[in-house]
Amino acid sequence: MRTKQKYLAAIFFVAFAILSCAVGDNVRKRETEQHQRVTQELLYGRLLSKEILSRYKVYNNPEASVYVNKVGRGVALFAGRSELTYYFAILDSETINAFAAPGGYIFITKGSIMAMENEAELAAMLAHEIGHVNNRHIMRQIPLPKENNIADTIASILVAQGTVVSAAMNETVKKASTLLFEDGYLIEDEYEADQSAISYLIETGYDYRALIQFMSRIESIKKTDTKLQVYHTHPPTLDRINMINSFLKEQNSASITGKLVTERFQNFKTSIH
Amino acid sequence: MKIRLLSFLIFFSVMPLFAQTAYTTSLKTAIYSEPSLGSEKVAQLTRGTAITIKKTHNKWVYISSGSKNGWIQKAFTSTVKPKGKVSILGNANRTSRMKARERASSDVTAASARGFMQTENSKGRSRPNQEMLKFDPADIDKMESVTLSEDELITFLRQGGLLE
Repeated sequence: MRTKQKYLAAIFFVAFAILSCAVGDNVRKRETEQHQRVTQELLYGRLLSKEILSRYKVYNNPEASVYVNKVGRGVALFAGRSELTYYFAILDSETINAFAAPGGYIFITKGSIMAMENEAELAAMLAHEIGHVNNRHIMRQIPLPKENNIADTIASILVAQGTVVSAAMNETVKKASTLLFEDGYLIEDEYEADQSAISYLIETGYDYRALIQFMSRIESIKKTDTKLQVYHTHPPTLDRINMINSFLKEQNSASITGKLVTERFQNFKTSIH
Repeated sequence: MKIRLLSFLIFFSVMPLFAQTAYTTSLKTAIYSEPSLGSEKVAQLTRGTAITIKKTHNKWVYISSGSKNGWIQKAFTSTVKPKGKVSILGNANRTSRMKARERASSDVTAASARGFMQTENSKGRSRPNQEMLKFDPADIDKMESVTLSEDELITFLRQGGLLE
């Protein structure tokens, strides 16, 4: 009997040791896979950012840039992807639009800022773009080409040589660029980005209603200035507002309060020319 | 009897290895009483807290962490413990990167001249490709050079009356 117990105890310890090692290996594997996935995402985002900056000039105002980064990164602290560093830039354009490239490269036009009335509206627009990044909308719609060591390939392109982009990668970035500037995201992805934005705003303490208020203002600007390019790659604003309202009802959000932060934003806005 | 006891020991020792363990990924994650943003916030978890996921409901997960239980948004969890930022900037110094980008910049300009890309002016009308802006590699460097610590961001948010 005693021998049998010893035998079982030995099996127990061996099984426990094997399973612990297996779980440990699995954790390391997941960590490595995540690191590779994020690295690819960052490199993809950088290449696409180059495309964005080939179409728009950056608005050169370091103080304004720091402010926008504080708002955007402040929201991003509560957006769940702590492995990313988000970079925000103001584009020198009177249009009302914003763009996001994978990995956290986010661009907002000067025209958008001029159409806003408070910091919560700025946070809302940036949160929407963070939503596109965090839900990997571009990468899901236009995945990276399945090449071996794609991250190493692109890294060497950008960092070491800076000249040769594989044909497949070139094609991918070109398609992503078409998505951003011509076709727009899938409608369901826009709605998902809006829902994510509301959740980030609530967690940070901004008034989530700012998203709807800003979108309603865009709608009225559209009516008065039909030539102005306003969110032309986004689905109709009224549809988005309706979808947001349905989501808010589902979330019983009526009692949730938040801040608009108007004074600080107006000071910032006066520094924009 | 002792064999049964040993079997139980084996079972309960190995069980935790298979429980669905995850971690919170936001700086702070609110735990709600119900799977909705309008429900009561019952507690808060700091980033990297280990949680056990008991069940899911749409984009929400019911979790337990120590004595805390409730609903959190699935988007704020990961099966990988947060270990800081992933960066692709650390492998080369800025000067060599900028030199590399200067070469890349001329490629972009050449590509645009070949009709590789379309562009738009501020009113959304198409422009001939030769009017494409020359990509300035310094713009990405400037963008990436804005450094802000978490403490600075928290101070900024608090000054705005946020995080309450």
